[in-house]
Amino acid sequence: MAALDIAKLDLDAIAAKERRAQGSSALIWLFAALLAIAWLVPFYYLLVSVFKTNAEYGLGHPLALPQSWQPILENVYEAWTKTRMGEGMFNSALYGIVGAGAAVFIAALAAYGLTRIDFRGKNFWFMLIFSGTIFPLQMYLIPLFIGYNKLGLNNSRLGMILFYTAICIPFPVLVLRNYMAGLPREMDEAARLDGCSEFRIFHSIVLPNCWGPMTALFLIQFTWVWNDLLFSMVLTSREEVRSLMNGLMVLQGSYAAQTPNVVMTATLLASLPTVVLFFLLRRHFMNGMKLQNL
Amino acid sequence: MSHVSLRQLVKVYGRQIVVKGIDLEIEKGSFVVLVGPSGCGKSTTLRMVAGLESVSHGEIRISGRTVNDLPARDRGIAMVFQSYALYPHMTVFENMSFALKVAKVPRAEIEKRVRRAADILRLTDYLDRRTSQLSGGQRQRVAMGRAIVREPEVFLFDEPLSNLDAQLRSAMRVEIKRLHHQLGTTAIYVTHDQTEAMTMADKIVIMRDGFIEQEGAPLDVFERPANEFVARFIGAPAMNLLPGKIVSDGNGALAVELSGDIRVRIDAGRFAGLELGRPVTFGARPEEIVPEGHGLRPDAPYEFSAPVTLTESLGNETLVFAAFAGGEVTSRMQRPKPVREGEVLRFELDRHRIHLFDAATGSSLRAE
Repeated sequence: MAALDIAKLDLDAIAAKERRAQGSSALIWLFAALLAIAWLVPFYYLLVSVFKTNAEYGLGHPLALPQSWQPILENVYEAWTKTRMGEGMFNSALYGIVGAGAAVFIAALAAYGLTRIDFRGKNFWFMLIFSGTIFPLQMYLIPLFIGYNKLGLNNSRLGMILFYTAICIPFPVLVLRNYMAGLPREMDEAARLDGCSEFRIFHSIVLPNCWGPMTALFLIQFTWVWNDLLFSMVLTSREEVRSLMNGLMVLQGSYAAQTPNVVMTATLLASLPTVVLFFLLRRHFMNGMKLQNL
Repeated sequence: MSHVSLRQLVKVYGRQIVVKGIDLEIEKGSFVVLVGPSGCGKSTTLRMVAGLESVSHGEIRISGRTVNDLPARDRGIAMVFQSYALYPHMTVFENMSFALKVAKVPRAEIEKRVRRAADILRLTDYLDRRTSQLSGGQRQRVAMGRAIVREPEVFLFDEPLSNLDAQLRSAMRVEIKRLHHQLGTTAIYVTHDQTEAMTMADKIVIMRDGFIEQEGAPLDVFERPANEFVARFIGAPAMNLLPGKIVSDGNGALAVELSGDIRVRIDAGRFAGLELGRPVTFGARPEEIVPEGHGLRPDAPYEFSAPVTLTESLGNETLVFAAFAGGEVTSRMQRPKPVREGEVLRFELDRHRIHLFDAATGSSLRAE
């Protein structure tokens, strides 16, 4: 057999062969494309509707193309003022940022305790917190409403923040507990020898190594708070404290006079912040998906 | 006065006693290695000294001060961990300076000490890097740098070389030893590797099952193992141990009789309590059993022929396994020649250098 001349190997041919072996056939591509289109069709309806006037929407076919782009300005104005969207956005951002932020931080504290400190009934406490993710959330609705009424927390920002913080804690505890358990104990011990107090270890050593999952968890919980309608509707009715999603409800119902073009514009506006957030922090969102095993 | 002393040190987990009353004196500036198989309590002992484990009973003194109830950070010690335990979110500089920062040492002083340690450890070019960008050996050096900058009274090492490959391990062995000469700080080093123990220690402490089996200078422990366990644990390949009993060799001298009617005459003066008929364990290191012509001929040879069962060629020498006295012995062949399995070789065993242990207790029967 002749000696092998490495320099003369056809690397492109080898690469092509290996690509073929991986079996990414045209059929699979086609299937994926069809799925993607099915997913995107409703967005077409949204996209054409927001560029139509009330009259145009009423007269034409719902899926017809708009005649001009200008009506969107009118639609945005109407959607914004009717739902008092500025206030709603502020409230939702407040609940989302403070609620999810506090929840993830508290969860990190709990996870540190559950993984790093030896105390009696550790497992019991973990199961107690974890049980918060087991029951359907709707279960809390009535007791919460009655309790808030008695405490005077109904229709208050404090009440909303307290609720969102509490409801957002259990899942991050589960995730962060597993994550922190994976961080080597020797790292804490080294820090202890380096002179750290327990809180300093948490704050200077463990926390900085948990930013990844904590950011992802914050985004997941923020999005949930932002999108929540049910609890906001039950616990708030005053315009000053209601969330954005609750504000959108004025466009619905038997006495609402708005046509779908305005409703679609309003929902589009309401979802813009989370969409922007997603594009800015895509990587963390993806990590979050992994954490949720989605 | 010794620098670190352990008195009747005990560690209990629940109902399990892990360290069973250790007494140990460590001189200032010495390099003491605790060695033993896993589960012998060596790491637990070290962690008690570090303050990472509570002391169940007994006392730990550092520089004359009882430290039992002192938190780890106030004991004046620094520790190098097996996993290095570096802080992954910090640069090399930040890792090395962290303890000083916590202690609120002035910025200029921190800079000075870190630079000096980095210089000693050849890490100056890496100070701005993340630890994840470093090789295993470099990480190991950062871990040591982190310990050095604190200028501790005592260095503790917990199997620091176990995660390195063989070549790097022997290089780091020399480096740690050199560092110790340079700094002169008292060091306590834990390992399960007897080679590390032999090469690095001023004093070896061999532990088993929560007890100290023997302590002493490396050569001393090697030459005069106190019992069968130490004899087997120290030295590679391990000492050959065969069951036998004390008999008369017929000329008025004593001999040890091994299986197969083999009698090896012994220097009675070197041993104590050699009553006739006493069951003993006979020990000879592989280097004391020399294939004829392949090593130094012993002064007082016992010669025998034995068939080779297996060979391990190491290049500079060959380990020859031969069937002898109903068992198998290992022999070191210097300037090796090819040997076939089944080939019968002539061996010379050095009678002056044999070991005898009590068959029941395993204690050495050496006289001195």
